[in-house]
Amino acid sequence: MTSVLGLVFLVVLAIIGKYFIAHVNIKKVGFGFLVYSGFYYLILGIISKPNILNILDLSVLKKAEFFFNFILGWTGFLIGLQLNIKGIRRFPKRYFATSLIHFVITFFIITILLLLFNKLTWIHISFLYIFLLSIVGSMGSVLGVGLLVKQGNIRSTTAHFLQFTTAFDNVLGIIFLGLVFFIYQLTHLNLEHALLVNGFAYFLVVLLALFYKYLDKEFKIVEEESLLVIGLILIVVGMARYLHNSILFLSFLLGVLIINFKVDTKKILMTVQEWEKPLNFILLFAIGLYLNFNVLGLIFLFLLFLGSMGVAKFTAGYFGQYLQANSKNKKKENRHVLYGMSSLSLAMVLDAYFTNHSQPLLNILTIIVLSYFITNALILFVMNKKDTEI
Amino acid sequence: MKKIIGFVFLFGLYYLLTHYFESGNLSSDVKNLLLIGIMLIGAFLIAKLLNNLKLPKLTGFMITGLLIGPNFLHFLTHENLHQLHFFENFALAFIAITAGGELKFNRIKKIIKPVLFILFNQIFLVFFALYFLLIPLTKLFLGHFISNDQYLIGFAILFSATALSKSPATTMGIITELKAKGRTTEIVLSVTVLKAIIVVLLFPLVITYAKTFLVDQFHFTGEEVIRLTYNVLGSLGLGIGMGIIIILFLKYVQVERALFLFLVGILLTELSGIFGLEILISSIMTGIVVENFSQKGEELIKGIEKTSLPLYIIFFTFAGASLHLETLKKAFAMTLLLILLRMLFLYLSNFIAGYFLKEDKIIKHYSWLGFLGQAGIAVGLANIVEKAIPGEIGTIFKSILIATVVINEFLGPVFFKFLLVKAKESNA
Repeated sequence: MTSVLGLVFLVVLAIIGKYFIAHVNIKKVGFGFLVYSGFYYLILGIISKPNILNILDLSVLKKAEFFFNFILGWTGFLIGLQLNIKGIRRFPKRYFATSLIHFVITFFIITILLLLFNKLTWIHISFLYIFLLSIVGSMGSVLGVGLLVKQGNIRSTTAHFLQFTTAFDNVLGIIFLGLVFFIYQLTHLNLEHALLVNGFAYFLVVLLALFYKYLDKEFKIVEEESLLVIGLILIVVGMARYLHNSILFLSFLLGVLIINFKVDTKKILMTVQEWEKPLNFILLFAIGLYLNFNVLGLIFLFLLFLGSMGVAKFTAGYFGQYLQANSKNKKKENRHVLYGMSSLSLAMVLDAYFTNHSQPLLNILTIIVLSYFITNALILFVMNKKDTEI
Repeated sequence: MKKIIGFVFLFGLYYLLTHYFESGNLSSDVKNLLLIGIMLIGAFLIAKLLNNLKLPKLTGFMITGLLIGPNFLHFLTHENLHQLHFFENFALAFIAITAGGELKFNRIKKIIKPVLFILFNQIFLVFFALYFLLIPLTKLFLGHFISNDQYLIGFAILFSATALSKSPATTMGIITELKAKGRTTEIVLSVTVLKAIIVVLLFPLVITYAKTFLVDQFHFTGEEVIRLTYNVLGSLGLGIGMGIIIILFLKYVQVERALFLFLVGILLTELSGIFGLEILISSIMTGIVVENFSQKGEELIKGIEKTSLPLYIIFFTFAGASLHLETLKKAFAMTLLLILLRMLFLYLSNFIAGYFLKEDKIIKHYSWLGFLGQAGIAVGLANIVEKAIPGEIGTIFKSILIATVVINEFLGPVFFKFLLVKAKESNA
């Protein structure tokens, strides 16, 4: 079996598996998150690794890397498309302030704690990686909140706020990721050169967005509009790789610019969203293949990260006073929801890995994957068990 | 003007990035992402521009390929074409599935007589008429080069066989572009798909037979027959198998339909490559099976059609870039003559069928216009000729074979569009 065929075979298996799993009563099992998050695709990726079932080797990953890059571009673009300035103005200002405070405090606490651990323990990771871990640790889980809303455990006003704050976390996360890439370039180039390369990349994205506006009327029907979007995403992805920049950030920027030009993007948004889930599942499968469980030090770093994140989110929650409008007596449960990590965190680490291809980033990816599933599954499990209404 | 500015901007951007920024350890596939992105939008813009001149978009895609390919601007190099060959086959798989999906048995029953009559004529009349005319004609035009008459027979066989080929991708592309519906559309598509299956399956046999004239001490053996049988049955089997898998999926699973279809395309492309099968046949069969044996087949095929624009652009831009323009210069007169002869016999094939079946004017006099576009398999055949016949004559034969395809590939979509407009079946 060739590597590509192996990949196809496993994804087909995953689709069929998903069918059976989708017929299990989620509430009864209490692990609805695992079903919706595509956890099974990740597991399939893990078990097909060379050191387990040996179905797929790393050459598949190399061959398929261009496609994973494209998925990252798609993801970033979609997040950007959701940032319509007119649309988000309808949210109360305190939402922005609370979410921003929560994110920033969490970010700084995780950074400080990890820097401290880095000094005091035998785990030595670079500042950039700490920065990356802090960003992904600061983002809340959109999926987790969505599931709780779906199960009807959250009052509508609270749900509104939580959905906003997790989505806003994603936006802040991507912006911070752009910053990480800039710092990365600074470590490789001098300031002037780094500024030039970054500025050029952003300038090109602006040009592409203007290009979209300029030619929008030439792409009349949905299929043609989709073609334009696919083409632009591919260009931004290729460009990001040439300029050693973040695919997620640049495509996000493109999405933001396009949605805020006065063009009708409703249909495009629908098309892009339609493909989001299947593409993410492929990405999860790939992530499963990339994971590295062989390093003993990972457990320690994983626990440190989880601990730092817990402390940071608890403190940020306390200071930020989440959900104050709705919860006089249930503050504690409310905060639990935001302890889950965002699925975007996996894509962010992968984005960094595709630029750098370094082993420590694979270790970080492993830690993030474990943290992502554990935090979300546990929180949702606890919520379901208590049958708490927030 | 907007379109030209857009096109220049995109390729300017590509030039800038690839020439002034170090790509370091980037894999070629990642680099090609940029190229594909630019190609998708750029080819569409050119196609829209030419559309104003009433030319079909497919022609625009091919012209873009020609422009950015190895013949002129070199943005798309032979190396790129080789690296991206998978995408070309992947696109072909989907195009062929939709072509097969158009063959609904219920509908074909109503047009079975003209379809079979035209098919029979196009295969036998075109092949034998060309074959018998080519030997004296080639002798007349190129006799001073050729000392061995065996070569003439071999070349005549190969050229006549190539003349039968008709690209289902072109047909499907124009039908999709014009949203064409109607009797003429169905007849042309049905004949094209059935002819593609027959021609592709017979090709190995014809090549082997021609080789007995072209290659010294080459003999027809039982092994060739076994290989051919394997190719035929294998391709059909793969197509039917994939069709059954899709039907089962549509019936029992249904989740992640888009992802599943995407994987089917990869599977068809990969399996055909691994087992040396004909991807065109397998994919057409898949489309036929799904369309005719599943209640949700039609919905699925329409779904593929809706997302097929990028696939057509990839396929036809690559086709344009792969054209060997330099071959046109050599033996131009002979090439032109052969193209005209092919047109004449195609016309006669359809006219005779239409006359005996008392068909209308469109079928009798114009339907041949839908069969002009040729498939790119001639390039492979041309290489056989060149290798088999050493020296200048081999090169000339090769040039003639390729040049006829080049011209027909450009004329095909234009003529077919004209036919559909004339038949009032275009809904674009």
